[in-house]
Parts: sequence; structure tokens; C-alpha cells
Amino acid sequence: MDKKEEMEFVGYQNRYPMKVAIQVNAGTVKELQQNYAKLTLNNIKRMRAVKNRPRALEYFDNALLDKTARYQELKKFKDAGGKVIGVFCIQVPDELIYAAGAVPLRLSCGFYDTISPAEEIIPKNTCPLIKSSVGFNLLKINPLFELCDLLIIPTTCDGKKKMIDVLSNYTTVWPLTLPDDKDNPESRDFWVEQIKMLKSKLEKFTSHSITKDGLKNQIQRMHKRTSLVRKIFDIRKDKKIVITGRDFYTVMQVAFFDDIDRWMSRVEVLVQELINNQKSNITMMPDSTPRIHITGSSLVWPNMKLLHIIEELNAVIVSDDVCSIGQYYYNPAELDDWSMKAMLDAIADKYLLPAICPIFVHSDDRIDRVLELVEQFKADGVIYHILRLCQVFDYEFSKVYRVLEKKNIPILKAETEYSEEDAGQIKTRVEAFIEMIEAKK
Amino acid sequence: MAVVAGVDIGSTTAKVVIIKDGKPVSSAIALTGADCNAAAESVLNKALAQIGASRDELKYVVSTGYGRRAIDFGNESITEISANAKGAIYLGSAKGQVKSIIDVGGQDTKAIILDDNGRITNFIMNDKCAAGTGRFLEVIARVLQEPMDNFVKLSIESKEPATINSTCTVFAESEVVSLIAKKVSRQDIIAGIHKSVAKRIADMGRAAGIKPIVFFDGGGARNLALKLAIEKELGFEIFVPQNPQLIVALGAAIIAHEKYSKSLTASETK
Repeated sequence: MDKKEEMEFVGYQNRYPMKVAIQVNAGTVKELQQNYAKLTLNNIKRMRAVKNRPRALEYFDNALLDKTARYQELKKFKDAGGKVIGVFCIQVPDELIYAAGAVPLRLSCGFYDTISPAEEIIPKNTCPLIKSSVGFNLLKINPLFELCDLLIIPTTCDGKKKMIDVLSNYTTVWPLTLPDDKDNPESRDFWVEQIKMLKSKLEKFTSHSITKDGLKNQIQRMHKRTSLVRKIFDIRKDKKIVITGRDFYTVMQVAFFDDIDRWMSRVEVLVQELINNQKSNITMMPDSTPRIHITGSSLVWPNMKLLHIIEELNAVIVSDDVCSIGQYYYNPAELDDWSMKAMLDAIADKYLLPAICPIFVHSDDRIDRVLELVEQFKADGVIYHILRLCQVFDYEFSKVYRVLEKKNIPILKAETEYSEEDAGQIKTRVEAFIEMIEAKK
Repeated sequence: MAVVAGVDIGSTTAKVVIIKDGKPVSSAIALTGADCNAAAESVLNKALAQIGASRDELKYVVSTGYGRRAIDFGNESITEISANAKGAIYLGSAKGQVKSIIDVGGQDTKAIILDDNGRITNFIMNDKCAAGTGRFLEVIARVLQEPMDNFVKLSIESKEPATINSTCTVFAESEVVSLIAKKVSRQDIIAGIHKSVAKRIADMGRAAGIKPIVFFDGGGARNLALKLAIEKELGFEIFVPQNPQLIVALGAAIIAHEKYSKSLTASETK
């Protein structure tokens, strides 16, 4: 390796590492683990209370209830020399990780109880997602975290950027630098360079070269995954409700950590069942159910407060553009020339151009996406979720609100956090919103 | 004879309005206390007693307010937002069609926007904190040891309201204490408090898209100083109905009446 390559290999280096452990005793950790399991079970019970819930969802429920099997599977993979890579957000290309023979795990968390321990190392005025994720992983409430050989974190919001530095005290972290203005032609060039750099860094880290055929295979594998997710989207466009928004959320949450091929095969089974149920009129809710589109901050397991509130008030979430749910696998890499250059360009474009993350300077692309989905899914109203202290989504609300208001699309701002303390107030707002939609119908 | 009721269980008080043959005939108010159900029962019985009606004659009950699901009677529940709109549209204003509602309750403040047909197009509620609600004024009145009537009177007397910067109830309390220490007059302190609450309410109203005519209700609307302060912040007059505390219960009662009449017609046509 010459000097330049060595630099690339190392990437960000924490020159003042500090070993600060979160001060909790084993008893607390055990209690947190139990609470997490309880919440998980409670979420699933509440979803199972809806009649005609597809049987194929049982696999996804079980995957969330017990991660032991997945842990052992990954452990074996590691013992055989495989690398496990933890990622945040949705801009780290899975294609490259898989093509380098490694496995990605998405590490975000929606667990309230790990927020307060994390405040020991993360400022209090940080969004709940970042605090919760840090506590969840460092305290090993997420059993899979210790398997990660490396973390790759895109420089999305300020919180995620600073999390790179914080987590680098504990493990190897690579930032993946995103441009701020994706409409600037230079941004694309910059981003393509980042993707190329990531490719070579991954190859060195895994000692596994990313070949043309290998990458092509992975792109095609991800195409299959996208097309499966889109099939569920299509099914949800119909007035016959055969899957709730909460169920779809569950399926996508399992994708955070599951074996991709097994996940896809289980989604295929689910899709078949949904098609059959639609044919034979086995529906979960009446056709007249108010239809809701969700936009805004990430919703991550086990945070289902808002989702439960909406659907337990007899409305249904038919669509969303949330990065942890509907937006996750929606966009494919688009290309027809399979040269290495074309593939890397297409991968770079896939993660930049259709991205509607509010970390970019403007929200217009997200507005387009919301309008498109509301029309396609015949949504009666939009619920705009803001995690408290998630500034970027908060900023964008007023523009989104005004555009929707002009188009006569009802919109409700639901600003909340992970704790249950405001559940009553949120419920009143959502209920009044549903009454408002129904009066309008 | 059809007797129906709307029951509004708020955070501070429980309210009932009885409608008989399509007309509001009686009402009652009591403190909610710790037991929503008992409070609702007692106000309901009180209102029924006023017209000499028994519980058996009561055909339909719609509950609303934050305790709407905590009661074990009633045919259905509706949010206080929809009920409020219903009540305000029913009463109307002396000055023309109601286009917006400001509701200042014990725990919540709401701004509701209506279209030309009286349907809700948008609403905003305050955050989970008490700033900008009736509770905020109550807390400060207690700190100053002024009964509510006097608290309002003193506020109106002020020529130069003090500036209160804190929007948090707890911090505002200590700010008031320091103003007292600085010998600022009670009138100006109290007017400053009203101004600060009114500002928050007006900001919220503007964010929701408030437009005249504004119907001001909830327990807070009984406070003339608050009404005047909100008008000053908004720059136009707002309308306060008689018994502003009862509008939400009235709206629920109207819905009960509509539902009951509908069920009668439905059973007749069967």
C-alpha cells in the first residue's frame, strides 16, 4: 500500500479517544432488556388484535421477538471470516457491502428506556432517535451490535454527524459524506467519488474485491427486493385493506437485521397471501376506513405510539415516505450498461437523486413525493410526524403544510417523542383529525 | 319527548348540557376532581333534576373532553374539537358567521379554523406544557394571592403591562416574584401575565390560520382581561358567547340530538 491508499483505508481517526462507559449496572441492563422484550410483545399483541391479519406476518413477529437465531447465524458467518457492518440512515449502499462479502445491519432504535442512559455521553437536546440508538447499541440491548466490525454513518443531520465522533470512542466508524445541495451538478460528482472511495475502502477492509459480476449480482438482488416492496405498495393502493400500516412497518423493521434472502422469500409468501385475501375479500378493515399517509421523522422499532394511535382509532395507514418504512427499499439503481463505472454511477444516483431526507437544503422533492403518494393511494389526510428535536423535519413542516392546504389535503402535525406521556394528547389530536376527515367525506 | 345530553369532562371541570325536543334546556358544571365518572354522573343528575327528568328519560348521551372515555355511560364519544365547532356554529355570533374558534381550557388551548360550511379545516392545540392555558393564569393568581375576579379587575386597570419573558409556568412564577421585589405594581404584573398568555394564544391562532369572526370560548373566555389582551394581540375584536364554558358540552348535546333523531327516523322507516 502506498501512503495515499493507507490514508483512504484508515478514514476518520479519532486522535483523542476517550473511553467513557455509560454508567449502568448489570441489573439495569437486564431490566432494559426485559422492558424491550415486553414492549415488543405488546406491539405485536396490539397488531394481532385486528381480524384477518395475514398469517405470513408471524415470521416477522417472531424475528422481532427473538433475535437469538439471527445472532447465532451471524456469529457463524463471522467465525468463517465474514464481516458485519452496522449502518445508520438509508444512504449506505447495501450493494457495495454485500458485493464485498459483508452483511449490513441497520442500527437505529426507537426504544424510550435507552434514552436517559445515553444522555451521559450525548447532549440532552438531541433527538430521541440518536440518544436511543446510542444507548440501545452501547448497552447491548441490541444483541447484534457486538457483532459489528465497523460502522458506516452517513453525514445526514447534525446529530448523526456528531454521533460518528462519539461512537468512534468505542469502535471503528466511517463517515460517508453526503452533499447538502443535491441539485448542484458538482454534488453528484462529489457523491460518485464518495461511493468509489467507499468501494475501495470496503474491499480493503474485507479483503474481498468487488468484481463486476459480483456487483451486478447484488444490484439485481436489490432490484428484486425493491420490486417485492413495490408489490406491497400496489396491494395497499386498493380499497380492500388486507394489510395495515403497522404490519407493513413490522415487515420493514425486520429488514433492518434479517438475512436478506430469507426476508425476501418471506415477503414473497406474504405478497401471495395478500393477493389471495384481496381476491377472496378477506379484509382487515372496512373499505370506508379513513386512509392516512404518513410523512416526517423516522419511526423505528419498538416506537409504535403514533402508529397504534392512528390505527386503533379505526383509520388505516395506506402509505408513507418515511425512511425507516416505505422509503427504505423503494428506489432501484437504474442502469442498462453493466460496466463498473455505470454501476457505481447508478448506485450513487440511487442513494442521492430520489432521496427526500430533510438534510438537503430544500423539501421540494419530498413535497412531490407526498403529493404523488396521496393521489395514488387515495389518502384522505396526511399526518406529519416530527420527533421532538428533529429540527430538519420541523423546518420543512410549514412549506409542506402550505402546499397541501392549497390542494385541500388535510394535514396534521404530530410532534412527539418516544415516551408515552403525551399519548393522550396525541390521541385527541389524531381523533379530531379523523373526525375532520370523515366530516369532509 | 326526547331528552339527550352532552357531557364534557375537562381537566378542571365537568359540564353537561341537556337538550329536550331539540332545544337546550338545562346545564350544570362541577369540578372534575379525581373521579371523572363520579363527576360526570353528578353533573348529569343535577342538570336532569333542573327539568324534572329522570335518567330513564335520557335517550342518548355523547361524551367529550379529555375524560370522554373514562366514563362508563354514554352512547358514543367525540373529541372536544369537533364538539366545540358544533356548539359554536349552532350559537353563531352577533356579528356574523363564525370562521375560527379560540378555546382556552384548564389544560389545553386550541385554535380551530372553519370553512364557510362550518366544517373544520384545521386546528392546533398547545404543547403538553401549561403555558398559554387557564392553568397558567391560575398558578400566577395563586402566587399573588388574588381571587380570580380581582385578578381580572387589576389587569384591566393597568396602564403599562410589565414584560414577562418566561413562557414556562414554573419560570414565570419566579419572574413574577422578582417583579414584586422590584416594586412593579400588581396591576402591571397581572396585566403582563395576561399579555404573555394572549401573545401565545394569538401566535397559535395565526399559525392555524385564524380569521374573523373569532368565537372565544372555554373557561378562559370568562376572563375579560384575557379577551381584551387577545384582541390587542390579534388586532381585531373577538366574540364571547354567554356561558363560554358550556359550548363544548352544548356541541356534544347537539350531536346527541342529531344522532338520536336519525336513529328514530331509521327505526320508523324499518
